[in-house]
Amino acid sequence: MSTPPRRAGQWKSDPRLVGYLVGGFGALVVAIAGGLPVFAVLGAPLLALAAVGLVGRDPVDLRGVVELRQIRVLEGDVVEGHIEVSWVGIAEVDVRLAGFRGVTPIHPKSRIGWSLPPTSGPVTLPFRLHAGSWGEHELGGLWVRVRRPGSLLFWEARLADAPRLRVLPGPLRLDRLLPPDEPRAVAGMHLSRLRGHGTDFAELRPYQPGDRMRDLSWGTSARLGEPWVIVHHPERTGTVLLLLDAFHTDDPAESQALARSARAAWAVASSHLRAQDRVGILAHGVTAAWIPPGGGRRARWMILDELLGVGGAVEDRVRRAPHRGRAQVPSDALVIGVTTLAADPMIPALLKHRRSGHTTAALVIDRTDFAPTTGDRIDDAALRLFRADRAARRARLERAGVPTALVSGDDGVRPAISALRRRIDRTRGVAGRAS
Amino acid sequence: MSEVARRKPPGSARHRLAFLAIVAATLTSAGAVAAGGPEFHGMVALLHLGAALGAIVVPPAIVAQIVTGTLLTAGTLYAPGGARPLLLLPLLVGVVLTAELLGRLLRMDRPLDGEIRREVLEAGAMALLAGVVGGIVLLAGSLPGPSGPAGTALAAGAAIAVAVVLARARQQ
Repeated sequence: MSTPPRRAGQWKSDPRLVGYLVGGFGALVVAIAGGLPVFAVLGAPLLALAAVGLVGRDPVDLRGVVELRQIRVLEGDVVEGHIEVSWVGIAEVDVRLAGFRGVTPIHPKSRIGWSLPPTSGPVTLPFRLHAGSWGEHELGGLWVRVRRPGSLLFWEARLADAPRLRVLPGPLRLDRLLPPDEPRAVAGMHLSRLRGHGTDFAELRPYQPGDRMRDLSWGTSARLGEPWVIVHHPERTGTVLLLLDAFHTDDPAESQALARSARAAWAVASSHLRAQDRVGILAHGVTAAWIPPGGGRRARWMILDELLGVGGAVEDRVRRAPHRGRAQVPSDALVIGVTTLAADPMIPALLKHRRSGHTTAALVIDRTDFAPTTGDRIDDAALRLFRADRAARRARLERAGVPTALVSGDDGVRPAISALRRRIDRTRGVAGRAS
Repeated sequence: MSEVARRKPPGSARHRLAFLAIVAATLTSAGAVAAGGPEFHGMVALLHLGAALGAIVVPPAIVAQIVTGTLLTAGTLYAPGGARPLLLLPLLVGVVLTAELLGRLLRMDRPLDGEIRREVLEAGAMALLAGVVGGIVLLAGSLPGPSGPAGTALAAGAAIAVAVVLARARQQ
């Protein structure tokens, strides 16, 4: 066992000590002052018990540490860890991990704590947790209370902070991506409207000086009697900006909806990053985040960090400081809003991006399945009103040229992306014909 | 750690210990009421029982349990039939036993050994110590020697010293 640092603590008294002292001194004062020696029969034993309880005050040299086997896990995983505590001499030790969030104890059940019989240290106490909700979670602190056998004084200290646990969203791969507005001149997976070297057929045209011999269409050339070449669409990368709605109240349904939003955002972001796109994130609400579009592993980790921060903020129920800088959204960015549309500021934000000329779309996260099903007519009416209000908000966005798709359930991202892709293609087709 | 691994689920040990504490408090209160006392004796007995019940949920209530228990025991000296100092000892043992059992519940809000024998024996040992010290003081009162406040203080001091020596010897 490595030697963990020692932390300051303090001596505290057991309530029995106060009781014995009050009862004992009271009886003895009556016995001596009142001339009633029989009261000493009550006072002396209580004071004797207090004196015995004050005996064990020798230093305990308490040390402890909390270690986890993994600090990065997926949602639903079981996290194993152990607590190591050492002290000097024989003592009764209570160990407790307090203040953890976002995880549920499996072993020991309900609380992570042990009351050990009189024994000498060090001890290693294994525990297991269920990582139920994604995010970056604090696992609280290690509190230890030590008392010598029979003592009415105990030494209590917060010995160590537990490591932070990063619970990553479960894997959700998308087989379709949203088409960015103007793919950049970097090889990627999106079909460009430009023509050039690629694999997807664009057109046939007569040979021009400078064309590659490998692009010649031998069949067409033979039929027409002159050289013709096949022109392809090049595959390019794009820029995607995720606009995450992180507004939520203490309503558990909203927390669950935010978790679903972040899960969807992560699914979209990771899929586009795999397609070599540059992905950025802008979050508004309980926490604020701005990660400018970037690509590669660095962008992947930064986005994941921000999304875990959102998850942690939901669990902590703490409003984080808002982002102070100005978010510079690249002109070619495809802006994808991930929102429940419950918060008023999201619609103006999406419309602002649309008015700025960005292709803008919204994944509307359905949270009606989180509402309790009571069968009550008033609740049903409220749910219908909520759905009507959401439909009106979606219609407002659609009228302004922001296509929307509803993400129903945790597995609803894939069909929503497909629907959104069709809507964007249709919008672009209409715009192309109009121009 | 094997000791921890063998532990039974929490709850049952705590419940049994709390039950024993309430039994001890009830017997003490009932015994004191049966022995008789001043007018408010029954009320003090109820307060003692209430404090013991409260201490299961709110540990600082142990202070009230000990103080009311001491008052209850002292009240028997004013019984209509006359004071019976020897009766103080079992009542005092009951009060201390209740307090010690309740005190052990302080540790018991976490998973703990399902076996409560060690806790009960320790609580019993402390109650016995209180009884022995009380007995020494009572005995000292009947022996020849200095009387008045000096005699009382001397007897009490000697009894406390004996208790500390006994406790240290037990720790060693």
